[in-house]
This record gives sequence, structure tokens and C-alpha cells, in this order.
Amino acid sequence: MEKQFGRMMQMAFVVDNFEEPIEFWTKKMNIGPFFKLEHLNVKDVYYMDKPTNLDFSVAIAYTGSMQIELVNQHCDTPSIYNEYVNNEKGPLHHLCTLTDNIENDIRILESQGYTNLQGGKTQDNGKFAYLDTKEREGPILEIAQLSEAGLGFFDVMREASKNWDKKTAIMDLGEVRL
Amino acid sequence: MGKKFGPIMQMAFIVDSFEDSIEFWTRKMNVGPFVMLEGVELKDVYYKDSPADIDFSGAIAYTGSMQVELIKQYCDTPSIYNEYVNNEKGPLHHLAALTDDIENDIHILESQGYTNLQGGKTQDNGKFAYLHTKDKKDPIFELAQLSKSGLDFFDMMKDAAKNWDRKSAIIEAEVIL
Repeated sequence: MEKQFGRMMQMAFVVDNFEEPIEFWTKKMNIGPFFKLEHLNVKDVYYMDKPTNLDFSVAIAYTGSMQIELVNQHCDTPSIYNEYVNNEKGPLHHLCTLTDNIENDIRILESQGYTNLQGGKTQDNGKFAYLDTKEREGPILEIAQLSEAGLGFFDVMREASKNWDKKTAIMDLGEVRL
Repeated sequence: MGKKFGPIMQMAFIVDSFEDSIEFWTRKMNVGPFVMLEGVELKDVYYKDSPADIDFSGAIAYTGSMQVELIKQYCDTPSIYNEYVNNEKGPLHHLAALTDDIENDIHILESQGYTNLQGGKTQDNGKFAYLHTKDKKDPIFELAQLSKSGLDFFDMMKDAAKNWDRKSAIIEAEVIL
């Protein structure tokens, strides 16, 4: 079977704080509004084959059909967000794509030289994994197999970017009218 | 008036070799086919306020509505493709958006701390400019105001990606034109 994942739908950047990057993306790049997901409550998280517990928050906005994700890790636990990229902030951290069959895709990617570096599950059993090749040929690749609720959540954020007033930099999900 | 540019529609990477990079994107990332733009012929090209003649090629593929552009420069002329990024290969080089009024947008971006680093025109007078803030963590930003034929060319590449057989990694521009 072929890899099942679709188009790249997210580009992600690791940041030190949310305030300055959100100001940059909304004011200068005209991208917003951002939705903050603070202290993400994920489960079964692993990094380099070992279970781990990472305290991090993300902020997500859409530009067209592409998500811009900002990731801010609050703890020093080793992860792909800090030591794996030599704590580099700013450059593209990873691209993300969605799939209906994450195990199939991980298996094929592993046969193509990828290592499954980190991953876990959402509370509603959505699955995600970060993979990279040893040669660092390109950006880290995240594959996610989300629940219907997770996918619906993305739709809400995308709609919000279409109707954005270019003033409100950060929105809560409750404020979005579909 | 606010900035007129639209969604980010391109992410670009500097590469050493098209062969390895296209193999990576098509075989591993399922992104393709790539359309080669060899020896891109531009005019009125500048870099850091001086005229520049830069010999480079591009390869472009679509993933959804987003372009992945690979850029390879053949000469050592200083440009944003080599010295400006410490000759770094691999990481994201720039993001791009299209606009209907490039002067307006450059003007506003300059008032927001951007410097107009490099740019030029296509043969049919499409205009483009690369801008950057002093802060290296912000991606370089390209603005382009393309001719109708330039925009049509992008649409053809986007369609080629939708109908891609995942086998032919590279297709020639003539095939889709």
C-alpha cells in the first residue's frame, strides 16, 4: 500500500514566547487570528523510544489552507522542540500532513530511511508522530491521524482566518461564529 | 490603505542538487511533480541596492495550494540565496505571497521594519522583491506582483499536482503549457 497522507497542511516554528511571534505574524505577515492551546493535554508521549512528559503550548493560525503553528515548550525535558534541533528558534521546525492510516505511513516512511522520533495521542485517541531522516534532508515530518472533533476544530480555525478583522491577534474558540 | 498581499503561497528552500532534493520531496514527502525553471531569465535584478546578475534555476511543485520551491544558484555572485543566509542549505529560505500592488505593500512593510533586499522583474514585467526584518528568526518574505500569464502558469502547476501519477518526479514546463 502507498503512503496515505495528504498535502502539507501545517508549517511549524519553535518560539521562546507567544507575544512577539504573534505580533510578528499578525501585524507584519497579515496572518491571524491565532488560537492558543495552552499546556496541551496529550498522552502516551514518547521521544527517542522512551515515554516522556512534555509541558508545551501551541498557537495556530491559518493562511489560506495552511496552518502556521507556533510551539513553546515550557519545560527542559529533551524533545524534538529543543535538543533535537539544537534549541534553534525561528527556522521552520516541521511540516505536518494528515492521514487516515498512520501505522501504514510510518511503516513506509521507516522503509525510506525515516526514524519515528516522537509522538503520542490526544485525549480522544487522535495519533501523531514526528519523523526525520538521518541526513536531515528536509524539514521534520509530522503525521497526524485525528478524530473527527480534531478535524472540526481545524475547520473552525480556518474559517476564522477568512473572516478575520486583522485586529484581534488572539481568539478563543468560543468567539468564532460559523 | 492596508497591505494587499494574500495568503502565503510558497515556501522555498536552497538546495545543492535538484536531483537529491526532488527525490526527497517526491519519494518521501509525496510532493510533486516538480516543474523545472532552468536559468531563470529576469531583468532589473538588484541585491542590497546594487544591480546584480544572478544565474540560478528553480524547481516548483504544489502541495495543495502551497508551492514548494527549490532554488539552486550556479554562480558566486552575492545574493540572498548564498551569502545572506550564510550559505545555509536545507532550512526554510523564504515565504512568498502574491499582491496586486507591490509598491504599496513594500512601502508599508518598510515602515514596519523590513528592508527591501533583493528583487527584479520577469520578462513580462511581473515584479518581485525579497524583504527581511533585522531579526533573523523571521523568515525572509517575498512579494510578487505577477502578470496574468505568470499567474496562469502557477495554476497549471497546481493542476499538475492534483493529477500527479506519483511517478514522474519532474515534468517539463512545455508539457503543462
